[in-house]
Amino acid sequence: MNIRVLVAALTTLSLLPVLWAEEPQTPPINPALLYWQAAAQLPKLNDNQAQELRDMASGKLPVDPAKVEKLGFAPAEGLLRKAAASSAPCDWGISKAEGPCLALPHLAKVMELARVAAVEAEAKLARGETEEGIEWLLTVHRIARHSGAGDMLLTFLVQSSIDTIALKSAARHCLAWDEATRHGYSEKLKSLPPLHSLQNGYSGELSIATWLERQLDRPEPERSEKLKLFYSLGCVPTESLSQADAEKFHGQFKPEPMKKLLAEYRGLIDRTQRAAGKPWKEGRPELDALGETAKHSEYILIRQSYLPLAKVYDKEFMLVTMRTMLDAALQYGAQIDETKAATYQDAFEGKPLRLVKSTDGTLRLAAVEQHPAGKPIELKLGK
Amino acid sequence: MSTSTPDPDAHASLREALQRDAARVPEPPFDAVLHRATMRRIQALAEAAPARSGSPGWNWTASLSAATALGVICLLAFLWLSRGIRRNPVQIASFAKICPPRATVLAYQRAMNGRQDAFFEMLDRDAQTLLPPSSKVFSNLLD
Repeated sequence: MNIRVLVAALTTLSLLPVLWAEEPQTPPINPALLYWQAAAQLPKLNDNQAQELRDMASGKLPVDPAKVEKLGFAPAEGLLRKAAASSAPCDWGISKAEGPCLALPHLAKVMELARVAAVEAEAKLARGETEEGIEWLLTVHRIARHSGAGDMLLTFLVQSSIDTIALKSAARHCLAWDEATRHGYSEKLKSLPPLHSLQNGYSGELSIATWLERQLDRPEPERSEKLKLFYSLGCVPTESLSQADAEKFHGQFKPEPMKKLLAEYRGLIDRTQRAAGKPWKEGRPELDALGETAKHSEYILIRQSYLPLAKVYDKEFMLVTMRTMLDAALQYGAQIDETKAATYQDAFEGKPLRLVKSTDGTLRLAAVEQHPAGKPIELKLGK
Repeated sequence: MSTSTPDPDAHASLREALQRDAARVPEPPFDAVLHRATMRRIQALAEAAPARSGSPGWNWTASLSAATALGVICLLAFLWLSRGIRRNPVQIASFAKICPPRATVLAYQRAMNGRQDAFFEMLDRDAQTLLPPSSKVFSNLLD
């Protein structure tokens, strides 16, 4: 009997680890795959509908909820919300080794999905469903962050564009929200992961230099053929070259000049990337100087294909400034005045923000300086 | 397969009417001079025809001269063109333009070189045409 008890006890003990083991968990799904599934559920829009979608998302056109419903986004919405809410790393399968011919088909689709989410937010807010509308706005902010994954200049631009849509939309509505709603939205915004920086995005520019370097290892005539194809694809507008430049350009196909060219190109990209991470006052003059250096490079490839970053750099600071403006609006709502607005600063030179009242009664928060000149940085509050 | 035999009397009435009309037309007297002149012209035409139509009258000397002249012209044109290309490196560098593949880094960067808006306009176009929901890859046979 004692032996039986002992055997039973030992068997139970040996099974304990199995009983304690956690249930097998499904690994989190890459949100990029969910976005693709959502894109597959989108209706085929005609040109007019696509334009309407863009205009409604940007606030140019007022949103008609009944019209939005008829567009038939409902099948895609569940997947879209699921994708945006995912905290799993977003991997679009960007293979930078492919160099200039790297395909980025997701950028167009994610941009469209973001507009669908923005229009859904507008439709919900128009119906008075504030909580649901805010959830859709947060969905747009999350899509922006996912679109920036991959760290390329193009992904950075798409991310900035999508986040701007959400910021402007929130600003149009937030004066009508009560304090708890405004502050709740503000807290949720703060809990979002940070946007991908321009500095990281610019690192993707090295992929073309790396691809060119790899071509040097190819045997002839394959190497020349590849490089000719690269140039034929329009990297360098050769028809605009002078005769002397064209002779130099032709010489760049040889391995030694190409190595020197690539060393200079890499150095330029590296300095640009470092400048992009600096505060505006410091980084902007550096980027201007680097643009000039590239413009006067002895290498035609550098002169033609180096993308001056100054304007994109301004865009990053503009987005941060607009976010500060929204923070101010969420903090004070309709109670905001010039004194309160001035306690917030722009991201460029740290100058206080201004509150501008238009003759039609609308409010705008604006930066003192314009970057670039002639283009005011402002956020319209209310409709 | 069936064949139809033509009826010789099918148009008999028409034939007779035409013959009656022809009989009413007055016949001019025989003109011997006109007859001889006509016969000479017919003979001359019969002699000229073989020379135009084929080998018996082929003028090899003239053809060879024409071919040589054409060859010299072609050679001169080739030499002139190749000399022009060598002296003008712009033409060497100006490879045939090829559109970069759609939705690639190159396509988007080329669009952006002009202005950023062009890049976003390209994205809008691509959103409608790249893998549209109507694409076969998305079709669900169970729907």
